[in-house]
Amino acid sequence: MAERLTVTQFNERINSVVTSTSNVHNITIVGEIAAITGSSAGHFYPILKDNESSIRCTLFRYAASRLTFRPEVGMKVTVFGSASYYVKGGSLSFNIESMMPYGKGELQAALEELTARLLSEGLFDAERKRPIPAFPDTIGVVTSPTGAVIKDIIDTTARRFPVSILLAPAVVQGDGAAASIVKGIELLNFEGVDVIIVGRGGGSSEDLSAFNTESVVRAVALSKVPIISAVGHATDRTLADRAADVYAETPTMAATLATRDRVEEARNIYNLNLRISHSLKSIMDITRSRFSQLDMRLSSKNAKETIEKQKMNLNQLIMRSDNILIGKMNLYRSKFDIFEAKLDPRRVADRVNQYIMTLDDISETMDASINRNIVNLDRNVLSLSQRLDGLDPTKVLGRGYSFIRDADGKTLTSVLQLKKGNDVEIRMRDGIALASVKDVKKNDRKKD
Amino acid sequence: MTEKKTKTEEMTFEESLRALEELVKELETGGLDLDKSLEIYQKAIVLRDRCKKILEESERKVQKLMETANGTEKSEFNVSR
Repeated sequence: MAERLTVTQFNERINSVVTSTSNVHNITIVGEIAAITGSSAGHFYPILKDNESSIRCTLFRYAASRLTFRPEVGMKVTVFGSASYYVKGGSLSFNIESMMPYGKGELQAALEELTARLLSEGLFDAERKRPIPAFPDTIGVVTSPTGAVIKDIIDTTARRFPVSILLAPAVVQGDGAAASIVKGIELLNFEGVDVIIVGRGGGSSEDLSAFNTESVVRAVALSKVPIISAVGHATDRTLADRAADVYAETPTMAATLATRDRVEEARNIYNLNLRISHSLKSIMDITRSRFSQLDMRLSSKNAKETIEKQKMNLNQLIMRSDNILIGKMNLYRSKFDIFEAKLDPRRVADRVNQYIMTLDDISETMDASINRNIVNLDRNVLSLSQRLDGLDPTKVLGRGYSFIRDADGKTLTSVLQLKKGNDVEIRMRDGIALASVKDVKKNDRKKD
Repeated sequence: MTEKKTKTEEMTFEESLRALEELVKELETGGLDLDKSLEIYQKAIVLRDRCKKILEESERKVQKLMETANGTEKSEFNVSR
């Protein structure tokens, strides 16, 4: 009877065939990407094809992170890997370890695509660049433990400044280079070194490819510790060089940038020392001169001089007050002289004569004006008395007029002042008649 | 005093140099009395000697960092010449 297997048993048998067959392992295949899907875990599943066939492939996350380009449908690629059988699903796929664009044109295009993408993310921006510390305690180095790079860095720092070096040995070219460089940067960040040099000796541009992978460039950009890269050449800088805080053309230059020159620093300290002694000397000089001034002022010779000086001052003061008194007295004396001169009898007589003459003049003028006034007055009086004669009421009475007064003796001028029965007196030229009002009649004429 | 001295001896080259520069500036500003300037001078000399010592002592470590199951491990590194 024929052998009967479970599905699993059969699949396991195929798996053992696949795993033990060496000519399906570590194979390089060239093909075109017919389709590609990704999983949330970071794995990719491309399908590669040529004119006649196709094969499912698996690109696990670790391998995908080393890609220097973004695989796209229609792209021709070279893949390296092994056949792998999935027992549970009963499917065969090609497990890709590494994938490169096929041909130089594709490589170049892939690099350009990565460059543009990282550039647009700002990974190469000048604002991201951090200063390199002037006096690091420990310099971390990511490079091959056997090349000239670490030797140059150790020699240069030894010559310039005593600083510790922590090497994170890395594979810098070939398979696994990118992952090993990323790991080195991460480990040194964890160790808390002050600056990291990522270095590599000279080589063809293909040998620099690890420094153009996305994962390495990102690790450089994300490093918390400032990074000096010494990877490429002036004519052929890598993306890692562009993402680093500082780019150095050689490992020796990188070590120089990370350290100060011991001799220069010694000179600096010597100068500081000079400045200390200069300022101290000047402080001492100032203090000394202040002291000597005090000392001089305290000497006995000086005291004597001071007393002499004070005495002189006093004398001057006395002299000055004397002068003031004399001046005052002279002033009073001259005032007195003027006063005395005013009392001179001859001068007094002159004055009196002058007064008299003036008085004479005044009285003459006065006499003349008074005489004129008297004549005028006489004339006025005459004319006034003539006018007064005309106004004498008694003269009018002589011509037949009379006037009436009321009981109070007030002269009446209107009938309105009279009422029927009022007693009045009538005055005539030669006497008075008493009368009483029989009736009062007012004139009709409005004019009155 | 002892505590201060220990502190200076723990200072890095950069810290000592900055402190020294500050003291020199203070001395140069002037207006200090003799006691104060002598005090600063003494401090400056300690810092200067510290800087000199760091510069002159060439003892330093070159180590290799390896990842292990428990984290990392450092070992002495010698360049093969």
